Amino acid sequence: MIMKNIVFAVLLSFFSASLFAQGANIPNSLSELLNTDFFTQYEEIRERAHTSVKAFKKLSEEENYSAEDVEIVRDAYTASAEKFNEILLNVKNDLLSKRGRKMLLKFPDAYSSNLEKQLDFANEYYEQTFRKEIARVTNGEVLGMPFLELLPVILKGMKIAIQVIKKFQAEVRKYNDVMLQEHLVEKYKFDDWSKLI
Amino acid sequence: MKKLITALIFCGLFGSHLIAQETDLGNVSNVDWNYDTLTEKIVITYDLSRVGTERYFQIAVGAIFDGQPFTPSTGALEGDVGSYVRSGLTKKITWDVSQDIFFTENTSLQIKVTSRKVQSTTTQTTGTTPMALPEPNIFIPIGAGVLGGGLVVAGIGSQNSDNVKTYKSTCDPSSSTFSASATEVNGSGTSPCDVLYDEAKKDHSTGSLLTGLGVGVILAGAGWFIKQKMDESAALSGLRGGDDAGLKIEPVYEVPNLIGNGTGLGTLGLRFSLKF
Repeated sequence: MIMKNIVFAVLLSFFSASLFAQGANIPNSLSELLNTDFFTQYEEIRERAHTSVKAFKKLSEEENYSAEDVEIVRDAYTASAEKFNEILLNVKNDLLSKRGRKMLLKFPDAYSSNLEKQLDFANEYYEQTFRKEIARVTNGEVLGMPFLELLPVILKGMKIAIQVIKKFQAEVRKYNDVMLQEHLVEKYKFDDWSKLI
Repeated sequence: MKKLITALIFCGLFGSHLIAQETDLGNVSNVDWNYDTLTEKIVITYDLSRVGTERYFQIAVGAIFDGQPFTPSTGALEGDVGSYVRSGLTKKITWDVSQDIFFTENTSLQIKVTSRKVQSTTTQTTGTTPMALPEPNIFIPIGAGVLGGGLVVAGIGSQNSDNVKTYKSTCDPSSSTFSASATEVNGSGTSPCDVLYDEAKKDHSTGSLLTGLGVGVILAGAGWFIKQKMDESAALSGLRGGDDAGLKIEPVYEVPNLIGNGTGLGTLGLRFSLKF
């Protein structure tokens, strides 16, 4: 009976360890993918937006902007962030689904073009709402950092990312939702307004 | 046929109902307008409420001018119209009506303000590549067509070979050139027609095989091409959000204008479009 328990405990610890390892280890293909310009520049975009929000929040404490104006800027940021985060979610879903992978590998140009459209729209939304409102409310003191010059680099990075996905097709098929959510979405997504202090 | 027509009319009517309800988010209220005789401009005011957490909308103005639907030109509109209009009270649009219609105070005019989700106003700015449609590989279907066609031609040729022709003309009793002597058995125990029959049968079989093979190759090529197109269409449909590529059947329905000087003619029909 004691022997049985020991065997069970050992098996359980092995099982837990393997589960932990699954979450902690990033496959080579994924780390190579996340090192492409698509993700590094995406991170840069996100940092710029975060910096603008932090600068606005700091200034709003000194300047006492109206609650309505702060709410408008907050909503504009949140909606813009949603647009950008949606792109990450789309990429994640495409990597997870057979159809998405097929689409990505078979029609890389169309896929990049579509992503370009999404990025352009997210950028336009950010420009027309968040940047416009932040400049209006702060009277030009905070302008909101633009992204435009980063977008072509991101797009170029996407094409390289597709090559990486092509190279590691078999490994990419094994990606799971938890892994991609953690390393691809959570790591690069725009943070919630309340978290930016 | 009757059933088909009934179905088409039904589709048309049902579809038109769906179209009538499209896109307007219904968050515009208190639309009012005034004609400023001094500036000869129409000032439209309205309230725009939020939809969930969304604050920004695409606003459009429509009008019914003397009973006829009318869309003001973009250049004639100014103010809270177009893309990225923020929700709020007493939004204002100025319509330089003189640019579009001859307006007098007796003109019958109705104005409608509609809102939709914001759409991208720019084309791609980050690169030079437009939404690239994948180039279909046409060499395989063309190759299959040429090969299949060649096989069919060769097959038909073989089915009509000299042996077959000679057999038909000489050994077929219904033929005008039938030769009874050719059917006579000679010393070897066979007639010339027997020999010819074997040869003709061989040619006919080969011909049938080649024709079948050719048709098969053509069908395979066509099937491959259709499959590729369907894959491409499905992929692009996914890329574009699923509402663009593929076969589309849209009802076309316009209400007849029975007011004013209208002709009273309406339109009812279906539009079929196949987008690759």
